[in-house]
Amino acid sequence: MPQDTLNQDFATILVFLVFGALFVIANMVLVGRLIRSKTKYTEGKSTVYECGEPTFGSAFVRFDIRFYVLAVVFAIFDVEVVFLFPWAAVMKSLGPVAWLEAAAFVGVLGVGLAYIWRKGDIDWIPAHGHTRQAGKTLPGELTTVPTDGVPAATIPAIATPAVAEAR
Amino acid sequence: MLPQVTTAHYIVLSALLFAIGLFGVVTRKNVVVILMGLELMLNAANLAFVAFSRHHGNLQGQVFTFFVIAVAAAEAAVALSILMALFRLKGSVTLDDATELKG
Amino acid sequence: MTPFLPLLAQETAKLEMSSMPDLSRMLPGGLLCLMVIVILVVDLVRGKGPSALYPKLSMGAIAVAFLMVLFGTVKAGAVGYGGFPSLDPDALSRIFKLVFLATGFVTVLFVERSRQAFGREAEFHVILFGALAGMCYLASATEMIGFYLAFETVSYTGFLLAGYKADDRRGAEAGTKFVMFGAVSSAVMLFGLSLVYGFTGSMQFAVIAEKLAAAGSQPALVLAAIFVFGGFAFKAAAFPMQWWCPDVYEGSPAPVAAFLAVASKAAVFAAGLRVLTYGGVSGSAPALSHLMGHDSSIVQTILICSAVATMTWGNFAALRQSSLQRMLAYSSIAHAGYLLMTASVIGTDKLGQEAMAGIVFYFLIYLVMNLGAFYVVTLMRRDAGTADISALRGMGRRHPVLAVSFAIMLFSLTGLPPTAGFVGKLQLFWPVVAKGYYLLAAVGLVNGAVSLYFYAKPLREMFLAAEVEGEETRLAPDGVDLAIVTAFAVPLVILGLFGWGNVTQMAMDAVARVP
Repeated sequence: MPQDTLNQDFATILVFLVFGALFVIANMVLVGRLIRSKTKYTEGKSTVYECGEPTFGSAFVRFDIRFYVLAVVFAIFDVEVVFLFPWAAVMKSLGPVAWLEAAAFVGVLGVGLAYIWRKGDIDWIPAHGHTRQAGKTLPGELTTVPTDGVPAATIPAIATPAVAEAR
Repeated sequence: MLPQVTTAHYIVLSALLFAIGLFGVVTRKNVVVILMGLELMLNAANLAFVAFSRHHGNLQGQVFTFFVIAVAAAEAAVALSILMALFRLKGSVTLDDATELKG
Repeated sequence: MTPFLPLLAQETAKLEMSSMPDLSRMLPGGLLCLMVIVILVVDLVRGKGPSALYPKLSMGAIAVAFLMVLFGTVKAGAVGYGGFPSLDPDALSRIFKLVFLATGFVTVLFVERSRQAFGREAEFHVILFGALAGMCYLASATEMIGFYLAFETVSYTGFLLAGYKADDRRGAEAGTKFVMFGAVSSAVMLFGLSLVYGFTGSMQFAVIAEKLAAAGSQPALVLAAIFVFGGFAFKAAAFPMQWWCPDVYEGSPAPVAAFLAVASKAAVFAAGLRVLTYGGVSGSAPALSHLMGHDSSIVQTILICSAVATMTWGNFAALRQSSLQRMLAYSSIAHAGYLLMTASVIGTDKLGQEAMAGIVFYFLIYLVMNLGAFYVVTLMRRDAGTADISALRGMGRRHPVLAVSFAIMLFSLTGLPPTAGFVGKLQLFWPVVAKGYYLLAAVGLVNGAVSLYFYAKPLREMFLAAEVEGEETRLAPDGVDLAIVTAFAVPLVILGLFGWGNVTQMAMDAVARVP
């Protein structure tokens, strides 16, 4: 590539960079000053949200380990589809042999699915190893706590860390 | 006019991604974060394969990418399941706590 | 820069024209893959958990596959779809397949003998068959995609086997370390492969070898060679990727460690030999020998540096080990060093071929002596609950057969004369010396002398150390155990004294591929 073309190309980028930076600064300093409200800084301004639920606890809580199992299983089956896309694109021209091969592929995946199904790994309440304790709710489960004026079933229970810990 | 994106651009990007991933792998102690770095390294290789595939005008690099994607998913699955076992036993997913075996 | 879809149509047209590949030549590998499904389905249908059926089933299937490989005819030429030959079940891969299958069989046997419950779970056997299928493919892969997939199959099944006993802290830790190192090194290797593809525009080893020979040495190629070697070094437990090895071998059950130490290492060396000599030994295409030549030798430099570091590190670190299982891990690292040393002189000439045959030959011996030694560890873990060398104290008097057999294995691992290990070491060192790499050979010999010291440690415990009252060895081998140990020890002596000419010839035949 000739040197001046190269320089020109980079000049374009430079111009973009300069304009981008100017745009942001101009908006923040000049335009923003004209538009934003003139109220003074108060205590309430520094909270995370000025509306909605107050947050509690840390976001770095332990998730129930079942999420991982499900996610891992999902990831595998999800990604295997990548092999079916190219096959699907040319399936018609390839004829019955390719169809059989894809069927064998899906069949093998089916055996895998049957396996985890049978072993209880995709049940939301595992069929093995874990017995549910009475009176405790599982994360995300709907509870039927009667409350005034609100239909009971619409209140999602807050996942109690104790349940996750108990596992 | 913007410069045309050549194969070299892709390769530089891919090398950068690879370096960032490797940096994360080497410097982090948390195994989950290391896995993220690994994912970055694999995808850097993917990018290089696809770019070279386009450059050479054959499909082999793209085909390889499909397989790498599947392998990466398998890797995540295997690593996470072993990690879960470690977590159950030790209550931690940092490599610093894996000190049972040494000598 | 052709758009994607027309290219796809073009490739598809190629596929249509080509006939089905000769599936009969993929039979042993196919059987192993099938067994993965079969065992899963049996487990699903039974739905009852562990059973003594699975070890029997898998030993039977492995035996069948072994016989199929042993008595199957070897035809040269690669098999694959639509102008994309992907595996070549030639004589070289055949001999390595025999090694994998024998190791697999023995591993199942060991797990049964160790009386550990996991040996009767279907999952263990599923993973084992996956590993074996991957190894068989790896030994005969002739292009990058198949090679990478087989490589990863072997890796991941290895991770799962090492971390199989997840209720055990050490098992989980071994698995975690293995996964971390393995995943990093495979990602590095993959990036190296992408660079190789970028340079040559092909996935076929043969084409790559040709293009690389024409390209000469370039910085990016050096980088690619180092990256690809990183992946190989990880699986071979060679410097600089050997750190996982002691922890993993110690943390996983002894039979699994034996499987990793022999089959996994053999698999990567099988692939490595193929890559190194591609086209060279068969004489059809210019080999990587361009890179392997005496003057411009990226690969050779890498191999020699790694060989020296690996064997030195392995042997010296083994000196201060008190656990036999961990000591064998370091010993396995040191052996990788010796093998790499010989691999560095592989080439198209006669000595180069002898070097290759030496490696093949060594694996046949390594299989016997290392598995035998790991069986002793299995017995120690089973009866004494520890792999500490002190658990062997006084065994020479109490169980002379076991002690003498184990002594033979240790002699062989060291490379002392009346055993097969000596012949193997001789064949490893000879091409190096004959090619004039005296310094390299000298380093190897010094290392051999160092290894004498730590291999003698168990001997001292067994025969010389005074027994402490009330602390007699808790090993209680029964008749079957003694028979197994003897079966591993006797061939080493027979092979060492006479009759190794045949095996050498077998190794030579395997590397001199029919055109």
